[in-house]
Amino acid sequence: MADPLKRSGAVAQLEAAGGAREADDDQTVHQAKKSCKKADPPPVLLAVTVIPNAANAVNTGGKAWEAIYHAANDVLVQATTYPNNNLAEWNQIVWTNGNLGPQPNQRLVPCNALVQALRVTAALGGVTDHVDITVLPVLVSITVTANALNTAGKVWKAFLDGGGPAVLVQATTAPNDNAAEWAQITWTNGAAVMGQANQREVARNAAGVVRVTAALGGVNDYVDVNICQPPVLAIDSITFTGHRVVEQDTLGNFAAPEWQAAPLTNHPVAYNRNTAVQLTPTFRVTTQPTEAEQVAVTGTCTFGATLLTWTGNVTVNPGDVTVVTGAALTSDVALPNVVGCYDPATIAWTATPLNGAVAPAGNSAHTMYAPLGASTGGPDYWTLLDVSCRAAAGQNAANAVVAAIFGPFAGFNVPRKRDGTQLTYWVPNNTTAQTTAQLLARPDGGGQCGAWAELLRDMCQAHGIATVNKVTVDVPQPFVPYRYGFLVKNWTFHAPPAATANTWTHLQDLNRIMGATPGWCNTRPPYGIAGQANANPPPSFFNHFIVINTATGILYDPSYGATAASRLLWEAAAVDGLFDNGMVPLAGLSTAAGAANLVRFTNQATGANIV
Amino acid sequence: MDDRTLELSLSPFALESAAEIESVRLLALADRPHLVTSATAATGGASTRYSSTPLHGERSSSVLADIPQLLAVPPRWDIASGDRGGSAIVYEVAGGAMNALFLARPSSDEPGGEPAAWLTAHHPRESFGHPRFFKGRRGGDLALSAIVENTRAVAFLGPPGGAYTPLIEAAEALVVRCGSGLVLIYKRTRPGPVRGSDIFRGVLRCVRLGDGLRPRGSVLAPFGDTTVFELDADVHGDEVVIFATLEAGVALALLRAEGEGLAVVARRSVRHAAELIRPAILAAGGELHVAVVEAAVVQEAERVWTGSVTVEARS
Repeated sequence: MADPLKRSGAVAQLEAAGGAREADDDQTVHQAKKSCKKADPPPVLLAVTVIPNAANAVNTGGKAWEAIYHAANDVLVQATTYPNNNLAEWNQIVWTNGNLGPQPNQRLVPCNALVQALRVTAALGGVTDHVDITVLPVLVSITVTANALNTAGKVWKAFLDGGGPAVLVQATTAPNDNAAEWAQITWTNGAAVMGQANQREVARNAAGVVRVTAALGGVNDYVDVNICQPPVLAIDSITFTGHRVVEQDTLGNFAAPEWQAAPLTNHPVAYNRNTAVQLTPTFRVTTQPTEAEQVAVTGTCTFGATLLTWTGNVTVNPGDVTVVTGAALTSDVALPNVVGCYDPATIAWTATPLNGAVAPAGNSAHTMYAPLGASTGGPDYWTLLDVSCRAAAGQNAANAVVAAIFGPFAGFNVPRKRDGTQLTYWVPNNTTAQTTAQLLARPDGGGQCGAWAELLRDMCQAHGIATVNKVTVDVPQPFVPYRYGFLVKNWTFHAPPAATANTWTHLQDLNRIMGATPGWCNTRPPYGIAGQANANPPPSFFNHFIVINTATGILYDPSYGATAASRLLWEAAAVDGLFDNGMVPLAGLSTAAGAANLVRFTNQATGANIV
Repeated sequence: MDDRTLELSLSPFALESAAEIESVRLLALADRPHLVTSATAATGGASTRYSSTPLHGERSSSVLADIPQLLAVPPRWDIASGDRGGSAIVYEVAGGAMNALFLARPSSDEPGGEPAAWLTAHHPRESFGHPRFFKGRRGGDLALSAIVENTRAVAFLGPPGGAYTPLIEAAEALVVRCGSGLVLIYKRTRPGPVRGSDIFRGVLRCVRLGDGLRPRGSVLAPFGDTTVFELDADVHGDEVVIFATLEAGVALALLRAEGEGLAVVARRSVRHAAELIRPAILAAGGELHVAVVEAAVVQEAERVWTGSVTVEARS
């Protein structure tokens, strides 16, 4: 084995120190060794080097060594001496830099602070040697600091948003975590952030996983930034529940879903006032997500001054075309505690992916009625709800609702909701409609007084008001029904007779051919008192239907849009006399001449006479 | 079921003023089948004219009655053979709010007929419509059914002016004597567009009537849930034959009593291009005659259609 002294160059130093004068061949060295044994020459330094340890210093060429920052590690520098390389010799070493090591021939250079080519020098016996130690900064970690959500370990999720802020990845270095250290980071992927060498940003303009890697001081770290396409939803249809199903004016119930975006469908619905609204929305997935997403959906709508909010969740999978909330959503608060007609009630929908941004999901516009209370009548025909709820909107007391509902009747403006046809009284003059259903069913929308009385009654019953009853008006004893009846204004009695019962003093002259004959009567321009969309209804009837609100005693005559506080007032306003429909039509008992109490009023619901 | 076949052929029955016809019935007068029509005129005071025309032979119409009306509302009516060879007409009188039923005997021995009788006088504050004499009548029996308050079928069995007997919830009804019992045929309305001005669509049901005219046994749906608009029926032997207007055409059904209930013996439907109203059927002389009217007046000569029904055993 070759003598290490020869190769280390230490021999030359030895000679320089006078310990060996002939050191240029093996013989000389041998003699020197022999002479040392006899009398050790003065020790000299042979070499200084770095010893492997936890600091993992790496020789980067010649006497240069690099270690990375570590709070607890030290680079171990060690000297070798000659001739004995023992403690006695080591104690004579003169060290420059470094700290005391475990042995006198060792020095420690701490890695807990950065140093640049720290020269650790040892000198002994006139021989000096050194190593240059550099402690480099190290990468501690990288993480995402903004605009993404950590979903697992090093995976971070963000939603595609080309215009939104980028996902920010940030490295931490040691020991100083400063610009000097950051400048040494080697990044892979991501884009540089101006003035922040410790940061990279990942734009959210393309779906996919971006792995951002940083390396420093031999340490690598990464994060995976998963840019996901968030689902985009648009309201597609809505099915209401817990509502009163509206009937299409005798064509059948409106079916669910009550609202659809395409073809645009808006079926009216009704909820009693002061109740919550339940609905189940279905959303169209206009942009499918790249992975399953939980999305919070919210609808808001203002009813009067009350804001109702519906909230729910849907799971949107990559292949979904539509999604629906698992259960009906109930509004957070109830409808206002008044009658209402909300047309349109526009619900603004939003969809918010979990940890994503709130996105509009379209609007749905509804026709929603809020009657006073639960119906006490028959089907919720559309016209009943529409006319009554519009007219009584804002009311919360039964009698006020009745009075308000009568408004459209008084204004001769009662259209059939399903087609806008104006409902009429005795147009055509052969109409057979006597009920609400028949009135609403007829293509011409013409009805008799019974149909109009039911229409008003049924509107009130649709609000739970049971005090509104039909009233039969006909002639009292001794007049026989279907022979005797009453003359509806306006009739002209030529020479008004005395108001004596059973006095038939006039001939009916509807064709105005008796002008020269004493004792005739006929109708005169402007003919009769106007009825619903009819300026001249039939001039005489055997019987008639009006309506009474038994809670107030007010009489309503929906056929003529009139009200009366008492039966006598109604009679005075509506009746000109009586007629006898015998072989020769006769008339008499003119109210203009003072006749009164010509007709009787019977509450059809109770059978009671109204006095 | 359906062990026999029904065949029906319809052909136009030209009538003068067919455009004015509101309703038709078939009636055997002097043992000959006649078509009875009604038309209401409003000029000079409303009046409804009832005319009859023999189905076969010379087609000459004769006026059975002109009945004044206070209002121009076309009355629903029915006609039956009277007990003295004439006829009896039951018809609605529109009062403005409520309708009463009156019975007229225009062809009685009295000149001009007897004064009309107020059938519903016992119920002056109820409105009546759709009067129908019982079919398969015996002698001069003028029992009839009607619809009260547009919702309930009732029967008038006694003399005019008496109380009625409730039958069932219905919009239209007809009672047929079948053997020793009675069969009630009725229509329940269903939603949908009306035919003409006021003919509601519905479904047809049949049930036998027991003591006190109470329904007994199971209810039969001779046409299932097929939409029916109007109906007529008569007795053919021991069986009931129903003639009804459908969404597109007409339908026939032959029923017989079976145990406590009824069974369909045969069914037949016939399509017709135009919407039809006022179906009428008459069993006379062992034959079955039918008549029906097109709802819209397109060609007056082809507005009324008549035909005969053949019943044969299924081969």
